[in-house]
Amino acid sequence: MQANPVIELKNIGKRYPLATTPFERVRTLYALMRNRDDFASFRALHDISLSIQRGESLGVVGENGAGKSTLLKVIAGVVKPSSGRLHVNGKIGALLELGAGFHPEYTGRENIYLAAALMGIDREQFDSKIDEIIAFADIGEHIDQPIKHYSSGMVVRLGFAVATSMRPDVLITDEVLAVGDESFQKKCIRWMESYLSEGGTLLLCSHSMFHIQKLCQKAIWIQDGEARFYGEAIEVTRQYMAFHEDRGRQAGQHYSDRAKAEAAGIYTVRDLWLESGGERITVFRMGEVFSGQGLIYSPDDCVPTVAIGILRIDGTPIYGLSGDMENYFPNRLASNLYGFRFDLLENLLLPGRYIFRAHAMDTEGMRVFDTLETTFDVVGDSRELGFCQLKHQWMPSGPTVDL
Amino acid sequence: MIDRKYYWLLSTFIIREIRNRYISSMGGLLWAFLNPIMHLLIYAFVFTYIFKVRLPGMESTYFLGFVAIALWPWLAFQEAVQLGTVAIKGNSDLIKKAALPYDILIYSRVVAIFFVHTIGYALVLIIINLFVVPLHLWLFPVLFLWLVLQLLLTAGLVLLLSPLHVLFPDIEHVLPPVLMALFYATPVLYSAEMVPAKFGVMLSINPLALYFETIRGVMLSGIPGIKGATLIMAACFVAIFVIGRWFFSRLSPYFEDFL
Repeated sequence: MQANPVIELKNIGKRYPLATTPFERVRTLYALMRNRDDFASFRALHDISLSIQRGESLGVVGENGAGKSTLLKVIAGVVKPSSGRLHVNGKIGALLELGAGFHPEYTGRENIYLAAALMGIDREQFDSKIDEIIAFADIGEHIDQPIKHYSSGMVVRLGFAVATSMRPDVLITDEVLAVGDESFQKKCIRWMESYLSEGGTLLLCSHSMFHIQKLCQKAIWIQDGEARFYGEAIEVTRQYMAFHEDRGRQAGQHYSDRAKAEAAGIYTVRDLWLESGGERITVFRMGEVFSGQGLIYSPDDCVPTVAIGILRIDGTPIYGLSGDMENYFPNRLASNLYGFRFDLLENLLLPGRYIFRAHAMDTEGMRVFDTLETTFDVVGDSRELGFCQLKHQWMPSGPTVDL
Repeated sequence: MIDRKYYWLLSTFIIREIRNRYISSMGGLLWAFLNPIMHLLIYAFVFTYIFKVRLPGMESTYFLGFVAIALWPWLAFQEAVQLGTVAIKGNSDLIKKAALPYDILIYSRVVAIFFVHTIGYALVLIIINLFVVPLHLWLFPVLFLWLVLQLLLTAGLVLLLSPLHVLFPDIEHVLPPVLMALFYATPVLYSAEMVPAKFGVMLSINPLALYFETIRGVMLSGIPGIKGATLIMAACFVAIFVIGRWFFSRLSPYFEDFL
C-alpha cells in the first residue's frame, strides 16, 4: 500500500430521499435542517471503500442502476455522499454524461468556453488550448454552429476534447466511449493509453469488457450499490461476464425433478462432482487436471451407459462423448447403483466458467434418460481468445523474398 | 464570500445569464430596456388619463418621472426574485453533471438582471432629467449604494426561496400574485403621503416602502437619505442576505438528491 493515494473512499454511502408527498417533503426538509437522516430513502451506494493510486486505472462494471454512475459522481464531487469520507488529491476532469452543462443555443466554441470555465480553466489557459481542443474534437465547421444541431456523437467528441485538454490528474469517464464512432473511440483509447503511460489516473465506467480489460489494471464490480468484487481487471471482468452468462442460462432452464424421475423407474444421474488431488472442488487453475465423477441409479440393475460433455457456460459445446464409444461402462457399487470416473489427462481450457454434464443412458447407449450438470471455473491470466488452447508454435516464415 | 478561483466562473456565468435571456431574439438586449419603458407608459397612461391621479401640487408629466425612479429598481427586484427562485431547478442539468458551487447560479442570475436594469435605469434617469423633471443626478453614486443594498436583499430572498423551490415547486406559482400584492403595497406608483392614515401600518411594516421613498428622495429632492431608520433598514437587508446564505449552504448539498 502506497502512502499517498490520489483518491481514497472510506465507507462511502449515498442515500436518496424518497419523499413524494408534500408532507414528507416538509419532514425531510426539517430532518435535513437538523442534520438528521431519519427520512425515507433509497440506498444508492453502501459502504464502499476504495483507494486509487496515482497512475492506476480502475474500471467500474455493473448492471444498469447498480450505482456505478453515482459512485463516479461522488468521486467527481457532483454528488455529496451521505456517509463516509472521500479524499481527492489532485485535479479531476470528469466526463459524466453527454454534454455536461452545454447550452443548445450556443455554438460548439462558446460551449467549450463554458465547459472549460466549469473545470476551473481561466481565459489565458483557455486561449492557449482552444485550437488543440477543436483539433481533437475534429468536428469541422460545426464548431461554430449551435450544438442543438449536433449529433450525440459530436457532443461527446466536444466533451472529451475539453475534459482531456487540461491533462487532469484524474480522468473520470462514464460510458462515453460507447457513443463515439469507431475512429473516435480509437482516438480516445489512444489518448487514454498515452495519458496512462505518462502517469495519469483513469476511472472508466463501461459496459464494454473489452475496453475495461484493455485500459484498466484494476476493476470494481458494483452490484446493488455495494462493491461485490474488487481486483485485477481481467479477473473482475471474467467473473462479471460469467455471472451474466450464468443468469442468461438459468432464465431458459428447467430443472427435472430428480425424486420423481427415480420413482418412475428410469436411469438417473444421482450425483456428479469434480475432483482434483482427492478434493471435490469447482475452481481450477489453468492447466490443472481433474476428474468428473458421479453415481447413476439403475432401476433394473442393468449396467447403464454414461455420456459426458463439457460446455461453455452459455451452452456452447466444447467436447462430449459417451462411454460406450470407448467401451467404458460404469462399475457397480451397490444394488441399483453404479459409479463412473472421467479423468481429464490434460486441461487446455482457458480461464472462464464451464459446465460439466453427465447423461445416464440405457445399456445400449440408445436413449438418454437423465442429465445432471455442475459448473466449474478455470482461473488464471491469459490473453488468449476462445475456449481452449490448441497446440501450436510460431516459426520463421517459409518463403524467402528478394527485396 | 466566494472562493477566489470561482470569480472567473462567476463572471462567465453572469455573461452567460445575460446572453441566455436574449440569445436568438431579434431585439436582443434592447428588450431589457424596452420592456420597462412599456410598463412605464402603460402605468402613466392609466393613472394620469383614466384614474386621473394628481400628485399634490405637481403637473401630470411629473408623474412619469416620479414613477420611473422607483419602477426600474422594482422591476429588477421582481424579475430577480421570480427568475432567481427557479434558477436551481432550471439548471438541474448542470447540477447533476458538473461539480460547481451552486450559489454561483443564484448570484449570476440576480447580478445579471440588476446589471441590465441598472444600465436601463441610468439611461432613463438621464432622459427624465432632460425632458421631464430635473433630477439630482450628481447623487447617482449614493443611489448606486442603495441599489447595491437592494441587490443584497434580493439575493438574500432568492437564497431563501430557491432551495424551497427545489422541494416545493408550488412556490413558482405562488410568487407572481405575492409579488403583485407587494408591488401595490409598496409606494412605486404612488407616494407614501397619498396613503390614507388608516392604511399607514401597511407601509410601516413593509421595509420596501421606506426603501423606495428613500431612493425617490435621493433623485427628486437631493436627500441622500442616510439616517437612523434607513440604517436599520440597511442592517435588515444585510441580515436577510446573511441568513439566506446560511440557509442555502445548509440545503445545497442535497439539491442533487431532489432534482
